[in-house]
Amino acid sequence: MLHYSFCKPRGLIEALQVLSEYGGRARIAAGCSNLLPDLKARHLQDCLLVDISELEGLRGIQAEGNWATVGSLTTIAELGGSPLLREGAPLLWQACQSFGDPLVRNRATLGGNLGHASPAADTAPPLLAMETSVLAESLSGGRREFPIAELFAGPGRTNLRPGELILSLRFPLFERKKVAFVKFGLRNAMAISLASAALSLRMEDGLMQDVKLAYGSLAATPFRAFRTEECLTGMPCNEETLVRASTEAQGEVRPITDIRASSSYRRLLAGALLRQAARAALS
Amino acid sequence: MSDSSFLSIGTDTPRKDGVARVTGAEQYACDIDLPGMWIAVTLRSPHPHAKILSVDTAAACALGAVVLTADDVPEVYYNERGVSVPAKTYRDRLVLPRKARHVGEAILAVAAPTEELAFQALRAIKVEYQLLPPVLDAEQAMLPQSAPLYDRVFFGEDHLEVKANIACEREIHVGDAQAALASSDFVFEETFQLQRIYHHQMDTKTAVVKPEPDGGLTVWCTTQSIHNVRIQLGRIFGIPLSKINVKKTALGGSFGSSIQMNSVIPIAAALALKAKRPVKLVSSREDDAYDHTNYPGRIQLKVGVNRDMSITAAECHFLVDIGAHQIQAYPLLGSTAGWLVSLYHWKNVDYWAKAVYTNKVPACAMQGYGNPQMNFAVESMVEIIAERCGFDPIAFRLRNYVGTGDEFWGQGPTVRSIIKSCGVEESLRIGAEKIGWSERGQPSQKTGRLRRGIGLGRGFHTSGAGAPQPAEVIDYSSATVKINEDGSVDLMHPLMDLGGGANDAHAKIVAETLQVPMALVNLSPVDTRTTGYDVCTHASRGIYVGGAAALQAAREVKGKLLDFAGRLLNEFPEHLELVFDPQDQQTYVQTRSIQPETGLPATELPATELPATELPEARQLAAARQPPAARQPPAARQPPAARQPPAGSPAKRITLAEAAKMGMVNGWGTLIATGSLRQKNCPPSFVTNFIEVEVDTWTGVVRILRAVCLADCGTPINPALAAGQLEGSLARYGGYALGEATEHRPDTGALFCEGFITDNKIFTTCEMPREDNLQTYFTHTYEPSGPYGAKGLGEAAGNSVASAVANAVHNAIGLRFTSLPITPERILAALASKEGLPC
Repeated sequence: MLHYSFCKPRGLIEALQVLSEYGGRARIAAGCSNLLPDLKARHLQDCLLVDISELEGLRGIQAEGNWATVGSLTTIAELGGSPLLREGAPLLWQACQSFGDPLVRNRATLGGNLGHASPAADTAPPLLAMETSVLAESLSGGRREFPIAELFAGPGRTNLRPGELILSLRFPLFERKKVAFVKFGLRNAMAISLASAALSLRMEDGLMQDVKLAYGSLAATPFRAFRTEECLTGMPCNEETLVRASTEAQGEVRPITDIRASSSYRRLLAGALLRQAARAALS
Repeated sequence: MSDSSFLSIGTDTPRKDGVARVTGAEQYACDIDLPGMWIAVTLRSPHPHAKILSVDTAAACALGAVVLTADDVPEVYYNERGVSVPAKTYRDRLVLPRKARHVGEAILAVAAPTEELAFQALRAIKVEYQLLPPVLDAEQAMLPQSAPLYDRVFFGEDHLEVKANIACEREIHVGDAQAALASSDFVFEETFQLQRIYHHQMDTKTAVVKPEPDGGLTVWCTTQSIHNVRIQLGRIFGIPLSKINVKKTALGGSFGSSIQMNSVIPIAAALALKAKRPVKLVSSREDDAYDHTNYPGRIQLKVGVNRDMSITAAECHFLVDIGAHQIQAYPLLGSTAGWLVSLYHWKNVDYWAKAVYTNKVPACAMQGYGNPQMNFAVESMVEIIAERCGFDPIAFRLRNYVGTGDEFWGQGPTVRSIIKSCGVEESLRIGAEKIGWSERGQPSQKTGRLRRGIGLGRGFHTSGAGAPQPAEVIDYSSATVKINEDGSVDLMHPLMDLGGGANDAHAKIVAETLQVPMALVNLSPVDTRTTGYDVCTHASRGIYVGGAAALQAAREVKGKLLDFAGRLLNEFPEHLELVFDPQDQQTYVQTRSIQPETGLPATELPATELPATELPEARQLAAARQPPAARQPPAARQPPAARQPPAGSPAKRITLAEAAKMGMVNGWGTLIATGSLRQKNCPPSFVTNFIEVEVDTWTGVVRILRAVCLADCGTPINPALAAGQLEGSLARYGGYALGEATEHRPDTGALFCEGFITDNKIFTTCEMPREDNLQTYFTHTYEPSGPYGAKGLGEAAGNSVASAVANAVHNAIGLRFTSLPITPERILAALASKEGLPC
């Protein structure tokens, strides 16, 4: 049986008030694609559901010069259907194509995917690789902007302050890099990623430069694999480089064993996904 | 294959309930909503093995809820499944137990005016448990130190002591297998391990029960057999069957999971009787995952072969972990022996099988009923032998397969019949061509990251459980056909359609017999009060047995119709025939054309219209039931010879609608008949799968790239739906081969997935080959004992998918997997030990 109460703030201030008042007992309900299973599994009990779905100000994609601001209530389907992102932020756009299934993409929001802080969140590795910044607000602390890498604290845990709500994400557009998002699940749709990787790089005189690599599901949080990035930077994209970088990646990831896969298998996937991503990015 | 002489058999027609199903208008058991109905929920054991010491329901009752505990239910032991004859049925459970035997077993139930109140009341109940040591491994269960799940159970009407947690055993011997093995040129031995999987049927188990003022019950429920539900409820609650009415509602898939009277049904019935009001009990998905599983198994197989490719003997040990209750383990052990002996000519067989109780989710039939398991073992073994002995795998199969003229065990050793139709050779030949078998190459030639392989698996399944003599399994069906006063037709059939379109096939058989368009045949809503008995939709008997009953009823109605028309046309009924005129879309009763050689009207029905084996009996039955007037028209109405129409041009005709209407106007009675029959054969349908896979040696992922699914189901009544069976089964058992496992934690006895589908995935369309890479093919066969030449298909469609996939994986990477599922992680681990780790 589900134990919860429910409120639906009419504006941002009211929402922040509720979040501030109820603290840890308040759970934000947006697309509910994570919330409903959690309620059903009784991982959430005795909580206040704060339905923010009508805060229209948190919805939509805005471009300003070479920067995009995406409201946290924007759905994955909206992101995946955006011609602007397809051209300007292909790494995120790619991740949105294979996210969940069409039904989930219509409900799930970008803010929810990040705020839920699953190590497997599909939008996290691209946003990490794009050095996205997060805009959040609370009643007492006001607005602050910080790098997305500082958002994740552990499985299901963020570094958001009490009562803080993610308002939007800001990332660069039209970087003109070679990119690929690859993921691996136990089936091709509606499967939690066992491992995912987002890679972006530039080829200059046959060498890889400005390499960004982020992994999902291979540690307690999604993370940038800086050591592996270094391994790739300034190198030609050949078998030798990739084998070396894969070995580095396998050492850099910190996967767990759970019912979906063992840590050793996930470690192997880190290398396989890197090679797959490099191949896809340069094809 | 379809015969062009048929009006509608062999044509693709949309399901009659198709629009209702896809628009959400169809009514399933969970859609039933009655005035004054209360909602029931169940309390399920958190422990795998625990005695229930006390239950405190005071707080729940104070909330206004009705609570049902073990003290409230009749002390009647039952077995959910009513397919075996009572003397061969094991009974080990009560409506609510005094001891929990698996995590998730319902131990009490609550009904309240709302679901919310019901859950509140449930939370207010205090249960005191005495924890018992759990038994979570089949091997260990048989050790003396393991806690017994049962002291004794019932077998038939007798008490049976349960020893070493062994639920039942079967031993079958043919010839002298040990001597044959000893004198064989080669002997091969392997152990195969098959996992537990959840059925994943869309419709979770549901019951709505309404107590009637006369002390009876009206029931809407998820089931594959409305009549067996009625019989079981009558027995448990001591109510005459005439006062229990089980309604046939649409079933949202089943895969065998509702072959029995599901345990939620008597719980809801007991609650409704206690609360004195209608009660609805819907299983949540999580409850349902804890309710049933397929049969897992360990198969040790030893096979003897000679250099001339002849098989000499098989020795098989089959161990099944059946979980906490025995639903149909005893017939399963027998049936699985049949799946072994009927696949190849072993000549000599030693078969030992054991079913063991454990504190796990109870196993019940799932599509194939032991056949996918045995098929995986045998078809893997056939490839192993062919490879090591250098035999051509197809030639080896053709040398040894069981086919036309051979004996077939359709439901274990007591249900045998002789095979009269067989499309094995055609399937192997055509399939090999279509997939490009000869170009498949050897594993050693395949290198690089992505490696492709082609695999073959062939299998079969029974059509029903009929044999010349009735045996351990009850198997007959009934149907009622009525021609309405405007010429439209009502078909009343108790057989449940599990999703394959069995009822549509019945309608088509009736339409064909009466030569009316499918659109004019209506599938009437029915219940146990308005239909004759049908045992259950299982054993792929929907069309073969259910269709035969419909055919019998339709033929009898046709006889009456011809009689009416004969009176109206002043002709002998036997000189009349039914013809559909495509010009004006009307069905006519018309005089038969004159045979030039005899000068008499043709009286024999076309050979294709009557199953040969059924002909004499059907004729006798029809004759016995016809009123004397129909058998012998009065002399005065005898047509004079001069009025015979000229050859080839029928002179007299009347529309079927007119004949039906005049029957009413003249007060001749309703054109109605009920058929009820037992088939005396159980012909196998043969299915062959050729599957091409691609193995990603970096990730271990196997993709099914192409599949050719070839079926001998006799005449496909509706080829589109039959193809759908083959395609759906490729998905269902592709997942079995490559991913699914619904196993228990060895410490807590809970499911790893905790009942949630989040971590209990089945294949979706994304795992299937693209449409143009998925081919289905029907062989040119005709089953003489089946309605219009048809056999079953539902289970045969899935039995050889896993073995074909495993054989394809072997062809791609040279690794033999003898246990399922073949997950990416296991592939990578096996590759790593063979070739070293991928970087």
